[in-house]
Amino acid sequence: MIRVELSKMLRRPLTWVTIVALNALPTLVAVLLALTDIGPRPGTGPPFLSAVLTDGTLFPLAALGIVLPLFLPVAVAVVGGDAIAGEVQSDTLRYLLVRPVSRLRLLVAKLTSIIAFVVLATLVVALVAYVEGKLLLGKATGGVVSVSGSALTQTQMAERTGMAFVYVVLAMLGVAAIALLLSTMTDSAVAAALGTIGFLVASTVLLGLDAAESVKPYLVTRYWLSFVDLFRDPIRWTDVIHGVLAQLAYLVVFAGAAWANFATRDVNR
Amino acid sequence: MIPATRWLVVALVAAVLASLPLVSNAVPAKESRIGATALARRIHDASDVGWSGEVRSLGSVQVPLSGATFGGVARLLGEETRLRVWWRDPENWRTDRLRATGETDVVRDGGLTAQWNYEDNQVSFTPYSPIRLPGDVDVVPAALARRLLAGARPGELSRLPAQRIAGRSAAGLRLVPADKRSTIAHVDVWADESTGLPLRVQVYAEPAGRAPVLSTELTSLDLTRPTVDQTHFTFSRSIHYSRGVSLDAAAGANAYAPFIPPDTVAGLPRRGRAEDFGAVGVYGRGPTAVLAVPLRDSIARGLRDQLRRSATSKETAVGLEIQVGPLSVLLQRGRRGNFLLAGTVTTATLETAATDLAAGVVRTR
Repeated sequence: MIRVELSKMLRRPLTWVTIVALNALPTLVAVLLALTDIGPRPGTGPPFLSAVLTDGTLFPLAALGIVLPLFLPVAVAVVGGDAIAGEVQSDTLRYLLVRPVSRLRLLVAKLTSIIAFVVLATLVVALVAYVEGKLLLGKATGGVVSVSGSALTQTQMAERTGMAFVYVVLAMLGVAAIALLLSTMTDSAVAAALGTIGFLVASTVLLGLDAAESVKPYLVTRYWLSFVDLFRDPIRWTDVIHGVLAQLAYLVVFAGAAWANFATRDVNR
Repeated sequence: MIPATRWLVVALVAAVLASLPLVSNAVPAKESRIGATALARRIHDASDVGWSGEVRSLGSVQVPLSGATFGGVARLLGEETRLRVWWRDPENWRTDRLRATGETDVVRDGGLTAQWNYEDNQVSFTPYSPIRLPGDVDVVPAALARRLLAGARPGELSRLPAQRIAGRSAAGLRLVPADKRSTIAHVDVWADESTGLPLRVQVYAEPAGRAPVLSTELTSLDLTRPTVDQTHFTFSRSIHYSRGVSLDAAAGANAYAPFIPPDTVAGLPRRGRAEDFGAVGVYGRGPTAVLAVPLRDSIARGLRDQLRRSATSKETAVGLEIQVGPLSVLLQRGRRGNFLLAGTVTTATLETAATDLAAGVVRTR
């Protein structure tokens, strides 16, 4: 079942159109930086963007920082919202359910497919950005500089970039689970996607509010950009670990709620 | 499994997961029997305690200043600051100010200071100066508590209930300044009882104020003294290096301004040794403090323009002044140059201080 869902995801035009759209903004940013040579001021703009003017090999990280706060979660919300509601809209869900597979297995296959989409999208963004960084942006001669100013060896850089990639994928688990839950609650894929985006917007608004201090550790967007901490010296693990645990908690609760709702849901279409 | 059971399982799992972050804070703090004066002394003696950890400070004083010279002070007093700190002793430490997009680090290695800014890809080395504008290290609870409790009298101190901070029980201490010229109502400090290391400091401008005007606390703490490698930083060879002569405008003024400020202004005695503080005057005791800094014309002009834009600024006989929360600021232009006076005292006290300063300052050349 998982193989079928993965194959469906890879063959769908929506998957590839979304991935191309995800790459559009980082590409535009790379071109603008290359033409103007103007980086963001300290404390502004996405992480690593100021550093790519001197070292283009950091552009994959900058690109992840560009797409992570908005475009990647929107893409995951669209794909996740379509998981069950899309089958209802195309009148195929009841045919899926007459097969001798449990609804839980179907949900797991759908969730796996969404996560595979996140891995694929993140990988393509990173690879495209690497090529763009190499071709268009700065060519550092003295090695990579950590956020704390120390030198990072090629091995350290490769390890930390790998960890950042995994972290970005994990950061989308919560969004995927929320989208999957909403997708089981409505017959409209658009409604499920918009509901997920609404959840993320609410989380972002609360993050900027001092009065919401007590709920901030629970917000799904709270630790998204903590992958930057992997490039400090020494690595600041606190928020990275909290971020991973928060996403796993969201996955367990919302995927569990999706299971609770979908297990006995009436399916007419 | 019936639907209700499934939802119940999900709700239980959600409740357990949501309660996990609260567990460590739910452990009650151990009450301590140490007296207020003894606790204050222990805090004072804790400057050599080595530690590392993370600090979060939050200010609510909106100082209408920006730019490279005074923007940092406005940020410290009015915004959230998150720091990683490695503290070997008062002369060897490192603070990393964390931002989502990078960080600004300051490393003090004896008489030398290195300041690194990631986005600028630059590190600058300057000689350390005891006179400088407030920086990140000044909102570290240990540094702030020692400054505010300096010279405190037994009658001003009382004990507060213990609190649990950074996973440790911390004994509480309240300082209520007896000096009526102070705009600080009280200062609350919680310190690790065994070492005296301050873990949380809250400064209140109103006696019954619900929220402190400045709050800083350790969010994590390791009481192992950091190694030399942790505070002595090795920078990459691919960054830009520069060498400066002074940390900031105050340090520059201290180094070059031809002034000797008077020993007393507005009845407040000068702090520290005159040879350490040079042209800059720091007056008062604990939270009743006035800072007087001579400014070059170019810096004073920019500062005056910024202060004039504030709705609360007013021209008085002694200069341009504003009051923001508990902070009074006065920019004086006199026959002997420009002086910036700032302090947690009433504006009337600051005006008197400005008059005394103008009358008592000695020009050395």
